Amino acid sequence: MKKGDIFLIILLLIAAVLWFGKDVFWVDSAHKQAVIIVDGQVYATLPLSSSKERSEIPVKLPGNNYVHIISEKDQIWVENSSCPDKVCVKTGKIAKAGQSVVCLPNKTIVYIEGSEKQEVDDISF
Amino acid sequence: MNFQKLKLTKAVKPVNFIIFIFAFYVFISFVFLTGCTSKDNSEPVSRSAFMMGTLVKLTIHDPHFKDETVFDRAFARIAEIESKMTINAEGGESEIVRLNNFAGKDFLRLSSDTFYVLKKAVHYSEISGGKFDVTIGPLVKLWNIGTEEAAVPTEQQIAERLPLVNYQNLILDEQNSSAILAKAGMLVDLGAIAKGYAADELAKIFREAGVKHAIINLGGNILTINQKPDGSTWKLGLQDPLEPRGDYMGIVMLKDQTLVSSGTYERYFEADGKRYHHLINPQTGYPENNSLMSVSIIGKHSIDADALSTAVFLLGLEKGLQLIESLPDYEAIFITTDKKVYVSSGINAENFQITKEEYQLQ
Repeated sequence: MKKGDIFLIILLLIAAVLWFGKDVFWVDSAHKQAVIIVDGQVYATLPLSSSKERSEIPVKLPGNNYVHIISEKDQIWVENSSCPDKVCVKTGKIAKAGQSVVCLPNKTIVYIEGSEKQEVDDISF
Repeated sequence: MNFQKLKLTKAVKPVNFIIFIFAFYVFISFVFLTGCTSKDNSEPVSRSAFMMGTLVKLTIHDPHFKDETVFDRAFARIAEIESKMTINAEGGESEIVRLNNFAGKDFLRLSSDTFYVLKKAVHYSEISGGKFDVTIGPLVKLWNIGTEEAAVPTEQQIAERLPLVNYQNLILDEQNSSAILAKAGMLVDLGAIAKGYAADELAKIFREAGVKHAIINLGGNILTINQKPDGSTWKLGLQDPLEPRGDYMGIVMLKDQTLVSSGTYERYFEADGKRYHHLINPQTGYPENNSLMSVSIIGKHSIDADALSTAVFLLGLEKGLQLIESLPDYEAIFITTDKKVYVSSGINAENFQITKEEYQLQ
């Protein structure tokens, strides 16, 4: 076996490990996305990453109701809503996978989905 | 000949190594893909709906369970419970609305569902010395927390309502499955217990249908069925009271148990820079202003854990802990406003871990 062979073998081994390891070790914020659910249906999904520009998602609902959602960089929040309690607006900005903003009166949920493995099965609140 | 042999060796050896690398590849991919395959098989099936004034999420983690009609039966059961116990008059007159309308007049016959929940509610009113009070309705209605009309009432308004709040004036007649509120103007409110009952009823439906692994989540009240498909305990994040929903400060490990939290962060409004949360002390008429931000109860039945989370919160750290220690089947985790964490005697490193450094276990 020549030097070149050993070099080739090592190179291929490294490539093999990297290829299969990348999903496990390489967790990037670019894999984060926000999901907007309205009355049980997915209304929109949008990637959240640091390079992303500000985007506004005005969710229009029956009876002149609305939930105005804004995402900027890796954050998303409810800017305004027609609901009486404004719990969703008060929740503030969310940025981490697993976090959510819920507007019960408007049956709207915004949550962040990450590619990283979730440490917990659900949240008690 | 010799030359040929040499050439052959030179040609074959790298091929062998390429085969070796392929074998390595296959081995690695086998390890990873089997991981993925078993994950795919047990990919949980989830259904959500807005019911009982909250988000209901049912998740079955059972690779062998295919009968998804169980979700329909579960949601139908919640709708049934809601229609009996809601205090919102929309969508017909519930048994509780009728019971309230009969206050000071006559006994009302109730379904076994409603009677059972009332009986449990009276029990927890009793053992908490009235800190949990099933007749808190007049105060809840006055404060209106969680609605557009939420506003700080006057002292006089509160003084007027207080005499109407007393669980001892809710009289239950077990033989006839009926009840009466002794004074006109009294109002029963099952908001602090009905979701727990619903979770227990959904667990029954799931078990009868043969579901082996599931999480029932009624607006943050969690009930787990058995353990995870791989035999390990369920891991539930415990809400950080100071952060947006979904951000947790610790992990609770459950196996065939329920976890119910009550906290000042759940529902509140602000007026004149002051925060008024929904956990009203039935004896003062005001949101309870003790050292606690949240109380979480762990135990077997959700109806009990639901009532206990409110009762123990309102009792405060010391008396709440005393009550929990007197109940062998229930445990509690307390978070104080200065981020200290107190636990009952059955909570240990096996079933609870704090994941945020700023929270200090006492």
